[in-house]
Amino acid sequence: MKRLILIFFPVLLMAQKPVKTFEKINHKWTVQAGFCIPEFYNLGYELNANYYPYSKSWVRLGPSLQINNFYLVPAKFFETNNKEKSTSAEFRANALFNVEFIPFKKNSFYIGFAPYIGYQVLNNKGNIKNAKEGIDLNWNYTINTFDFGTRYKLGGFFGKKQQYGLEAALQMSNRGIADDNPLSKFFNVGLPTYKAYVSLGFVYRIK
Amino acid sequence: MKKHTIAITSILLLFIGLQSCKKDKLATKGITESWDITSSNTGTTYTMTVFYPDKQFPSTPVPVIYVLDGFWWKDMAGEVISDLSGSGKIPKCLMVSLDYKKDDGVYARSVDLQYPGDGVDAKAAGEKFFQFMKTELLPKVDGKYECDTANRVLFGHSLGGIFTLYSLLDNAIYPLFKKCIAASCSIGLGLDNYIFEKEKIAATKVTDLPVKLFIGSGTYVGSSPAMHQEFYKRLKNRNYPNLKVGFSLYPEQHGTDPYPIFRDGIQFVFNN
Repeated sequence: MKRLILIFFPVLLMAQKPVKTFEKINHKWTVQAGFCIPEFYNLGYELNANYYPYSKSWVRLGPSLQINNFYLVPAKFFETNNKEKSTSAEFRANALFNVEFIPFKKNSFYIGFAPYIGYQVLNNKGNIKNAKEGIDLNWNYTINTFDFGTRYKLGGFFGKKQQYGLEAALQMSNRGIADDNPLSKFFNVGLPTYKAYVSLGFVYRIK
Repeated sequence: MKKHTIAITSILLLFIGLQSCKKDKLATKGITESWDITSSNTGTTYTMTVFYPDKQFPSTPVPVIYVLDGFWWKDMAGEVISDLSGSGKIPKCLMVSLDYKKDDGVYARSVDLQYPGDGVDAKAAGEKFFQFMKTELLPKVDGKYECDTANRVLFGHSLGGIFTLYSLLDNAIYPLFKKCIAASCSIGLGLDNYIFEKEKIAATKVTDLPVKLFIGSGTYVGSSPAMHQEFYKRLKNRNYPNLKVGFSLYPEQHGTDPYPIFRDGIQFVFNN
């Protein structure tokens, strides 16, 4: 279903026949909330506030502030008698700079990218017990790192007022290109400290 | 519209180009050679990639590092060996990377690297894989290259890590590898974490464990860091006179912790 929405999204937008003025298509302020799917056994959400001080008929530029939060979905990889209570959660705050292209003159459909810098905090804590082996352990580990990367996106607004929109995005940490670990790359799948995820978000135009 | 297309295409090409950036391949760091070996113990055909950080293979005996799951780790391990031996932190070593001829290592490894036990996949055949290494692979490598047979290192990660620990404790009287690096092991394997039970059994059979062992884990791997630390404590508290055991945690996840563990582990086993 999501795939169908993505494929037909530009067509749906065209079908809305909005009032096709420059002001309607190019917004100044938006906020958005998105559901995110990163690596396996992981889910999350993101909140963005976007400001576009510069707009032309085919391009607009501006910064965003973003926070996102991810958590691990508990999964058992082995059959076990261990009793475990644990949480693994991630929090990030990012500053993005958006470059959005509007390829159709009389439509709000856009594609774009946004490099970002940010800070991430990953926490892993819990308790594990196994009576037979006399195991009763608590742990609490936190990883703090700066991060940078890019976000690639497409979206658009619908309705007469062009106030509500949808955006699909692929966001990825590119920090792997600059560190000394040979196992991290420009784009990584399944590595929480080099987060990559797809998101589907709802956008609300403030102004 | 044309300029938009050019701009968008340029961005896409840049993105694709950046994918290939960074991380050298093995062949740029030294000499490599690959050959197949079919095991009579496991019935599987393996592909070995042998790497040496020089223009030619050694003419005098050198240590040999065996890397399990080479299809994932051989480039990383080769780079570390090349860098550390180049800067004199470890001796120049041969690296033997174990892979599967059918390219099905992701699945086949779970049979080879798990010892049987309660709660373990019924197909687990770690003992057969160990016998393959002992009676088929190591003699072949020793016959083909100039190897220092007293200086063999085994590196394993995840299932490879638990195989490294289990095979060490299962052969505690005569360890096949005197230097071991166990990285981010599947330490919860078995209904009751059978590596802890194995450690107890080994302690009833030996009074010494003349091995250099490095254990490590990332901290963003669930209960793994705490469990590794507990296993390390229990092993260290045996006070085996000739056991040198090191332990470290890293701010990494399961997919990236092999690098710092291998980098620090290889220095630990050669320099302690």
